[in-house]
Amino acid sequence: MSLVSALNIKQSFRKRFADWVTRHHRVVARETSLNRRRLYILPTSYGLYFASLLILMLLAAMNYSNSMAFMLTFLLAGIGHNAMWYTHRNLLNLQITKGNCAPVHAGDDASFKLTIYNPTAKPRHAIVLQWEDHEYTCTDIPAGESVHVDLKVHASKRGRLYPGRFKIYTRFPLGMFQAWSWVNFDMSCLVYPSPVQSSHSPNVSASGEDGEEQRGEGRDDYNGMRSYQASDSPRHIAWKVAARHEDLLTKQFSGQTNTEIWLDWQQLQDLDIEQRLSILCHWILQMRTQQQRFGMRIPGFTAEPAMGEEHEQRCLLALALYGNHDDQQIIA
Amino acid sequence: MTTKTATEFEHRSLSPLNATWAIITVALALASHLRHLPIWISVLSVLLLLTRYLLLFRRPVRSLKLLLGVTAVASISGVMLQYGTLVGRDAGVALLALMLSLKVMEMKQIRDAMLAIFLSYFLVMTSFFFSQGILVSLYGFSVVVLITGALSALNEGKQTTSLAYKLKASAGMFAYAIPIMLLLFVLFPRLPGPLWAMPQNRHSGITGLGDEMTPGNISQLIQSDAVAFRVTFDNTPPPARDRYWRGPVMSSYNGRSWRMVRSGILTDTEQFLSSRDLFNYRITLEANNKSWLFALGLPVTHPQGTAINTDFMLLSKKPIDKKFRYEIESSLDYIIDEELTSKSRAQNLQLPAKTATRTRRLVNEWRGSAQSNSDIVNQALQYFNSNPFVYTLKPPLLKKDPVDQFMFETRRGFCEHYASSFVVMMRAAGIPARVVTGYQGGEWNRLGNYILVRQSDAHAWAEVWLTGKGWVRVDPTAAVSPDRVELGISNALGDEENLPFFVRAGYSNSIVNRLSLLWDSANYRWDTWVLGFGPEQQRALLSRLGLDNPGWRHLIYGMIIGLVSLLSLYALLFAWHYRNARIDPLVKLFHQFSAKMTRQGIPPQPYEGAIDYGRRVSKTRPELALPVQRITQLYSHLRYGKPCGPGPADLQLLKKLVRALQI
Repeated sequence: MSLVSALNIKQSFRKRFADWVTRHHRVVARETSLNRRRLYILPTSYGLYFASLLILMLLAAMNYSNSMAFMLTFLLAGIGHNAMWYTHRNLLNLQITKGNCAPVHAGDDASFKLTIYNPTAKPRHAIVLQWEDHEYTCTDIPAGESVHVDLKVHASKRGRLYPGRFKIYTRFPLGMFQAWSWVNFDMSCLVYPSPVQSSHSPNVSASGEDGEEQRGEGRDDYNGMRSYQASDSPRHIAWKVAARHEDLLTKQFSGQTNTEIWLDWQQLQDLDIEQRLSILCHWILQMRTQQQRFGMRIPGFTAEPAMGEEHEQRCLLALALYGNHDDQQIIA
Repeated sequence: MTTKTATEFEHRSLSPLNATWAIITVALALASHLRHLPIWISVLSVLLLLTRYLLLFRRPVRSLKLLLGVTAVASISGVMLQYGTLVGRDAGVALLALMLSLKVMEMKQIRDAMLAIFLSYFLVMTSFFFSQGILVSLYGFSVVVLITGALSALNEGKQTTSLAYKLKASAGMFAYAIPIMLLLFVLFPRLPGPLWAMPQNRHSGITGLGDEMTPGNISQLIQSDAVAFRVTFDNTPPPARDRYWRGPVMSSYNGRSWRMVRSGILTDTEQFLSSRDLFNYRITLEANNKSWLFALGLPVTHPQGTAINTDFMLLSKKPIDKKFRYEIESSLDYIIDEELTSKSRAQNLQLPAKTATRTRRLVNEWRGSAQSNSDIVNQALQYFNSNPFVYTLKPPLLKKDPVDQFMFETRRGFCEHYASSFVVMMRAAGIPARVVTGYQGGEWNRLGNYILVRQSDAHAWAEVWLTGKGWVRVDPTAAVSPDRVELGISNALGDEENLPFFVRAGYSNSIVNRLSLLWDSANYRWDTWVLGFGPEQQRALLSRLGLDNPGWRHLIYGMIIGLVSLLSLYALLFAWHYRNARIDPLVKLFHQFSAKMTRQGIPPQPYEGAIDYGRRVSKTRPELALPVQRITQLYSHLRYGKPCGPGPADLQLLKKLVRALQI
């Protein structure tokens, strides 16, 4: 417990320190170069160990009045000093260009595709990108070349994810110093709700009729399979397939009637907003795998039944940005 | 590019390649200690490192932790048993070697390897506590380059660089560190003496003159080519025959061995000088763990921490446990002890009863006919000269009464036999006499302009007290073998003596000897300028720079000023380095192209991209359309179209196109 709170204190301190340092930094539109003014360097814990080792060596050299021990101590001090410059140089003048980020579902990691260009004649090694305390990405950049890097950002909730400031740092070559910079790109990623399975199933109706009682799937022609829902007749379960799969599948038959599937907000009345959105999201994904036409109705947004990626993404976008008034016009 | 699951870069796990690097560096650091570590520690450490290496290719062993714990406890107890302590130089190094090997055994993360590597630096330093010779130092510093290379290997990303690349980077950091090292070495304030007491476990098996002389001692020493000391003179050194480096003076005799006698301290020796002709010279004495120093004739001034006793020996206040460099003035023209105290007279006439009876009888005969004490001295030397005495390194073993046996039976002996029997004869004749041991001669090193005195130059001679002349040096060996004193040991002994090569005649002109002189001269410079650099040398340097009575305050100021200027210079150097490296070759080529076009009156506009610019140029100058559009299209392709940026071949092509654009 105390360890956890200590870690939290450390993290919040780090965050506040970064806020303070970057208080004059502007959000970068597209591309940034890590120039000298934006680069910071401090000894790492290894640097401090090394410094204490040098003090110990100096004391020993003094005690034994040993010239070569003095020489070695001073040589290592010089090497430590040079390592600082080497580390600084390893990060200096790299150019970072922001890239796109494919939409993700809440709870997953968004990966922003950044390009780092090394305009110099020196190769760069072990350049690390890290967002908050999340998983890091480490890369090497040969002289005069560019490298694409995935910046992993945790998407905790649906909506538009602005990762804000991330850190780019290096400890190469000796690990005694860390040179770093904070970069804050004007970039974002769309986060869809996390899909949640439920006992509810999409509303199926015959088009142009009040066919509330009619089940959509007729019994005439076999028309593929979909995953089992509690209301399905056991006679339609594909038992042979079930022997091979974990999930139960229901055989579908297309009847003469033209059915329509509606993913409807109203159907999920007993649930709160986020749960509804998650279930709707799950349905959309389900429709996609089943290659079904569907329509979606949520407050402020209606998509007529259709098929295809564009349609699905429009619906998912609507779910992601539901209730976000700044983004309403995108949906409409 | 790689993505790892650990969220802390610091806590990366150790790859087998990096583990190998760490094992190799620790092994190399350990190798500098194998000479002086007890065999079981060397073997155990090497075994541990080897096991760790082999374990890299196996699945993790579960019982390893327990095994390591047991080994650690056993190691500590072993060191305790071996040395009786866990601290001090020898035990400390043994413990460090074992613990470091154990650390290597249990390393899992990068941080364990980093720690092991830092400790390797320390282990290299401790090897200098055993020897600071040129070769040991070269080895140590080469290992430092490798250790630094290994450190950079640990901090690499997943893409590893070549060994040569790592070593080059490490050597670069090393090279840039040398000016900093030299500056600090010269200016960092040195404190005299140890900070804490050191256990006295240093220099146990050192050869050299002892405080006792028994026939056979010195002829054993002759077998060693170890350096006793080196001497540089301010002006011309005295000739070889006068170079008697006085060491222990022995006046107590038990019938077989000679021993030193405790005596008082002199405050002033200038009263004994007959002239002011002084030799000023500096001696670098190798560690011998004895508390006497060597000097020519009568030392007039003596260095700090030393004193001159009533036997005119130069004594140090503490044993010489490491190389000691001192400056001294000596006179070869003096009369010492014109009046002999009764106590001193009695000491220097002392002879055990019932020894050397035949010798005594012989001396008594001379006494009858002699006019003066000088006559008896000459008579004794004449006796050695006219009888078949042989100067040899392999004298027969002497039994009950060594002097009589040598004088009348064997007549084969080394300098200590001659000195010893001569002093016995003198004492028998009532002339105060004593044995002096030291070194005689020494080899002139032309390359370094100094005299190299080896253990093989060890010698023993006599001093007799004569009325009006005081103590006079007499070398009975010279009566038997004048070459020993004139030309050195190698010319005095015959070829059949089976001598070590370095004392054989003809050796001095051989290539081997010339090389060895060169090597010794390098060593001497090393000793003088590097190893001997201490508080006094620092002070001397500052006064040469024009500071009167410089103190440590000046050193600190000097060091800070020097360091700040040097590091600023580095900052400028690195900044300049970056400025040059910063230009994007692609942009540079495009600039060349647009400069050509600007000269044609078609400058690029800030709002247009490369392709639009190319189109505009093509419209105004249709004859250039083809090459220009090729350039602009290639440029935008390289700049924006290639996922990994332009390669060297791409740049080369663009360069060719821009060059070919002749207007």
